[in-house]
Amino acid sequence: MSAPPAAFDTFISIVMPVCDAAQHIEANIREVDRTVRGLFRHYEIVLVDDSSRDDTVRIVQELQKKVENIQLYCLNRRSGLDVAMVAALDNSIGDFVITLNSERDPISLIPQLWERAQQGAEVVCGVRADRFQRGVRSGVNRLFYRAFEATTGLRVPPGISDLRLYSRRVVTFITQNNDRHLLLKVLPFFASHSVATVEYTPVRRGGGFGDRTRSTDILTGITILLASSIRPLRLLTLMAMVASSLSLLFAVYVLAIALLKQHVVEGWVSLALPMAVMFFFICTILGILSEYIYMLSQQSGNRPVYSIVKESTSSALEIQRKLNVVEGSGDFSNR
Amino acid sequence: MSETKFDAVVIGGGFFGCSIAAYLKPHFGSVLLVDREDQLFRHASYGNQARIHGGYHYPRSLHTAYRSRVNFQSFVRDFPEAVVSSFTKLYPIARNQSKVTARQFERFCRIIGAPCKPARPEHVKLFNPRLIEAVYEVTEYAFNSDILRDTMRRKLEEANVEVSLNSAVERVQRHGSAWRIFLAGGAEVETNYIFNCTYAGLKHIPGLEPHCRTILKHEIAEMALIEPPDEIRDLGITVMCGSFFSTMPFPPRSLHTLSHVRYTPHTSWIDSGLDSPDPYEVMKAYPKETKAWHMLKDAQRYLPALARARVVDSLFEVKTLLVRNEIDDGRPILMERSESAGTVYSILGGKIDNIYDVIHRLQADGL
Repeated sequence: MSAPPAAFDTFISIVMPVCDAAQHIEANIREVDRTVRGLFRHYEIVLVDDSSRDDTVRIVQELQKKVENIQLYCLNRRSGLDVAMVAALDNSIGDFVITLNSERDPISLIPQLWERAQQGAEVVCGVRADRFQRGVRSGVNRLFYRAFEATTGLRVPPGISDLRLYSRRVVTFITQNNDRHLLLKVLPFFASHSVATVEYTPVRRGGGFGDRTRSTDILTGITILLASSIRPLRLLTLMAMVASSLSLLFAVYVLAIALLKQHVVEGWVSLALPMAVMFFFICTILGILSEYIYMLSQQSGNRPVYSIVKESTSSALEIQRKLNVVEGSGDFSNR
Repeated sequence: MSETKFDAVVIGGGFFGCSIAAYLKPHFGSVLLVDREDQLFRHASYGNQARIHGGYHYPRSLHTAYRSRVNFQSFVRDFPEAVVSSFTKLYPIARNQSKVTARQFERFCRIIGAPCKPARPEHVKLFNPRLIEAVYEVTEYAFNSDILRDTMRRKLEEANVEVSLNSAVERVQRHGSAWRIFLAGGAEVETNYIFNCTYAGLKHIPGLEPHCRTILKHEIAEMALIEPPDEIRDLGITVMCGSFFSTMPFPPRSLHTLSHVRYTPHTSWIDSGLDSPDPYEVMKAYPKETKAWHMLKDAQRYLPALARARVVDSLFEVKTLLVRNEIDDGRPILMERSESAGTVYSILGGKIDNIYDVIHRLQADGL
């Protein structure tokens, strides 16, 4: 596929975290180089090594003497795929950035991602072909996506993988978030609605990252939900207010019983009343704290509150033409 | 060539060669300056960032920085016609992966007595605050290499130094107690004092290699030339301190240079003498594929206005360093003196204002 004229000046970064990948890293890099060289005039291949214990770094540095445009960054300690991916995004320089899990994603999909980008997508995600399978795991996944959409209003395509393409604007947005290593899965959807998907079947190569376990997935899901939207916190405030009102009502009820009823069981009032009052205090305090947490999270300014997707300006030609046209005879008032 | 015998011969017509030849003339009866090219200042003296170092660039080597500061004053005093000071020089300090913090940089400037103050708000605004910690305005100038060359040519004329262009040294031989130098074109010259100022070619003059034993490292360095956007036209910017970039006015062409620590060095190798390839041959054979786009894209993240810069050209030159200064900021001048038939001085400096340290040393040696 020859590069269309628009690609001439476009700079592409191909980004791959690697960990203990000595087996396949050379073949991978060479395939990336072959694929990208015909397609783009200016590119870089960014590798982030997550403290590999095997020969990965040595192999890459050897390759840097033979293959152009390879940039290697080595992390200080083992940090996991998401942190390595974040390090790669922070240090990529392209107008478009393509991210790949070198252990799972076929290199041959790069041209397809680029094609979608040319059609106007700012974010292109790979989606697994088997995402609609039945099973407990995908049931939990679907629940997560539904909860996410309910709290944020953003629709995330199911089955998205680490195979992505981002425009520079989206990468800039992502790098402005302090917790981007926790939210990498969904952050791009905060930045843009021009999203496209490319369906594929992941391959399996060895390597140090491995697959995400079920428990990691669930924990990640909870983290994402809580970090993505402040609405659960609001729910908390609501619950606290309801509970404290109920406690107050219960306290009033206990008092009423104590004052109006004749035969009250020995010790019931002295048990129930303090309990009700305590719960009232606790729930009120929790509700107020929850509101302060909400305020603090807004003030800490971690995430850009908004991101401008498009900008356009009046073109002055028409306006200027009007000023130069004087109609009528001798009438100099403005129209 | 009028004579065949000279009291001193200077090989290399860059700024160092010319300055040394002009300095030596009052002390020696006759001085000859030879250069292989058709013009003076053809290589390293022209293809650089055109910066008159004020010392700011070497925060990790106080000695180099302090000398730079002193020499800066001398250069500005001696070559006012070549000095370009009409722009504002900024030193932004990077927030991540920088070898100095803003505070360290401030302290360092105070120690070497270099003027340094927080930049004006309209300049600070040009930079991405997420990637830049602070921006300082300093006193650092550029020089016009073409004007400097003309000044040196005039000085050589006034000093009656004989200049011979298109005269590459083919080999040097002992001739009794003197040197015999064979030049391209068939001329032969005899002298007792040779000053080898050939920069990259220092260890590649047949017959002189035993007299320069210091190990050198060469880099093929690319200096991009860009048409700057309006916001940057009156600015010179050097981001400290690590894999960052520098862009400054380049007076000979009314453009800005753009260099990047990551992309400027294309390749490098160690030079241990005549076994190693001739650097100029390596340069000639090197396919000069520009990395200017990499430089721009990388730098744009720090200075968004660069998105509107236009790449016009690229200068490729061999940059030569002393191997022992790979890990620190030290940039001493090499002056190796060897006595054999006659005296050979091998001189190499990396910065235009190093010349004053060379002259001091020559004075100390009684020349």
